[in-house]
Parts: sequence; C-alpha cells; structure tokens
Amino acid sequence: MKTVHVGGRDYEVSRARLGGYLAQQCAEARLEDAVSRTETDAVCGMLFSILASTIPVTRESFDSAPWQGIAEAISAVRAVNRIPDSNRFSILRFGQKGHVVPWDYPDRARILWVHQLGRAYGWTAEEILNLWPEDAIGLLQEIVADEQFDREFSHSLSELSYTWNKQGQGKYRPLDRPGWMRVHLNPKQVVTRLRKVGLPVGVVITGDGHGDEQAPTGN
Amino acid sequence: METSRPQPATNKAGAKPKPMNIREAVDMMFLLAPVMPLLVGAFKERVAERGTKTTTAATAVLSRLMALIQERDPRVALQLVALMYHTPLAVVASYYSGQGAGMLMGAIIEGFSVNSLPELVDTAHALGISLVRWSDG
Repeated sequence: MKTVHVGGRDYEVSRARLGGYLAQQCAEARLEDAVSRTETDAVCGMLFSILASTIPVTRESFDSAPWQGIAEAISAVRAVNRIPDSNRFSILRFGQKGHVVPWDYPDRARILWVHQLGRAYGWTAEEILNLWPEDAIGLLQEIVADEQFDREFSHSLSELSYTWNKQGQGKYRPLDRPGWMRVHLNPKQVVTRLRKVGLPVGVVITGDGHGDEQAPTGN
Repeated sequence: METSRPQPATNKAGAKPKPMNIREAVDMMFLLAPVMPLLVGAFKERVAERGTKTTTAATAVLSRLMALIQERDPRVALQLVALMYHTPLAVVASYYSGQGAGMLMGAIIEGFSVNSLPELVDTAHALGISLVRWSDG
C-alpha cells in the first residue's frame, strides 16, 4: 500500500476491486481519446475518474491541488492496480482488442462483466464488482471457453459441419476457435540436436567483449 | 479617478511563481509536446558532452526551449508565463509588450524552478501526450 498526497491530504492507495478496476480502465481508454483530441477539460475529467476509482478525492481538491501530487497519485494508482502476472491469461494476451460493437456505450464494460459472471454463477452485481480483477478474468476466460465448447458441440451435430465427397463419405470440419484458445502459453520445448561438426570453431566473443571462452573444437 | 492597472504576478512584479494546478499543467504539456523530443535530445547531447548530468545541461535545455519558442511561435512564451504565474494571458502580454526577451526568459526559468520540466515531460509521457521521457535523455 502506498500513500499519496493530493490537495493537502494524504490518501492510502490500495488495490481496487473489479468495479474500481473497470472504472479505471474505462477512464484510461477515454483519456487516450481526449489526449488525441487535445481537449484539456476532458483529459482532466478522465484523470479525476482514474484517481476517484481508487481514492476518495473530491473534484474541488483535485482541481486546486499542485499537479506534481496528482501525477504521482496517478502513477501510484496505475502501479497498484496492475494485474499481477497478467501474462498467464491467454485471453488478455491474445484476445481480440479494440473491437467495438455497434451497440457499444461508455460504461458497457462494467455491465458486460456483471452480465457474463452473473449469468454463469448467479451472483449479484455487488458480489461481482467486489471480486479481485485477476479472479474475475480467470472466471471470464473459463466462461468464454465453455461457451466455445458448447458451440463446437452444437456445430458437430449439424450437417453443415461435414463436407461430403462423391463417394458419400463425410469429412468433419471443426468450428474455428478464437486465437487466444489456439496459442499455448507454455509451448513444449523442442530439443534440436546439432552435429559436432556444425558447432563454431575457435574463440567465442562473449557479450562483454572478451574473447576468453574456448569453443568446442569441431570435427 | 485613475484606476490602478492590474499587474501580472510575475517575478519582476514581485510575485513568485507557484506550482500549477492539473489543468494548467495539462495545457502546458500540450503546448510543449511538439518540442519535447528536441528538448530531451538537447539534454542528451549536453550530458554526453559533459559526461554527467549537471545544472549546465538544464540551462542548455532552457536556452534550447527559448530558441525553439522564438523560432516556432513567440506567443507560447507568454502562455507559459501566464500558466506558471496564474495570470491572465492578456495581462502578461501587455506587461511584457515593452520589455525585452531577457525578462520573459527570466520569468520562465523561475517558473520552471517550481514546475520541474523533467517531471512535466515524464508526466506528459505517462499520459500519452508525449512520446519521449526525460529519462530517455
């Protein structure tokens, strides 16, 4: 936990739960838009939203506080709310990003998470928004994977999933999986064997510029 | 009856610059964003010449900033003073209209003493306003 100083008051920055995390992510996306349009008011509004997602700062003290304190607080909020080991979630690493549906609106992410997790587990919005973000991501990944398996099962029952040749033999065409389900996070290491004659001969120059390592001699 | 003319809160008028609020700081980041890579480049060059990060490098950067402002848009200098001294632009413009560029530069340098330029560049980078960080220099 880190303490930041904004507008003459100290605030302890602690990790936001899913609700605060989603509010911060939404504000970060809108901050990017505001910066690209060089709109100072909108940028300040989004910076306030990012801070307010984690610490109970008022708009008045935010507007009048020295900018250095706010910059430090924003940096602390971002650091504290970073998802630990986010690389372990395939859906985060390889999932489709930046895809905007026609019925999108600014707060849709929060509603979508509540909808998906509530439908799968029967939890209330309050319970869902109180989850740790990494737990919610893990659960969502399993929900989306389950939905894909269900679709694959329904697809396999359909005649459309088979192509037929002239002999009347059917060949199953599996349903495409999304990219994040196809990539292995920890691919099996392939052992490649080299013949001794293929190894370099002579002095090997190491990274620090010294040529004191003797390479295995060939032949 | 003669009314007293409003004086800008510049160092030359006796007032001290203050840390900006976030709105003023974001305005300044947008103003300086086009020249930030050049400023960081100037700092990098100077550090490479001297071999160490010294106050001379900071002075070189501020001189470069003033040169860039003069070259691109001299009004930016007035805007910087207005932001760092919490003074309306019109007041600053009328105050400095008959003064030399040296006074304006002095006011800007003093303003940066409480609104650190390296921190401004780094914050601009963190907010996505600038592509460069001061630490890149």
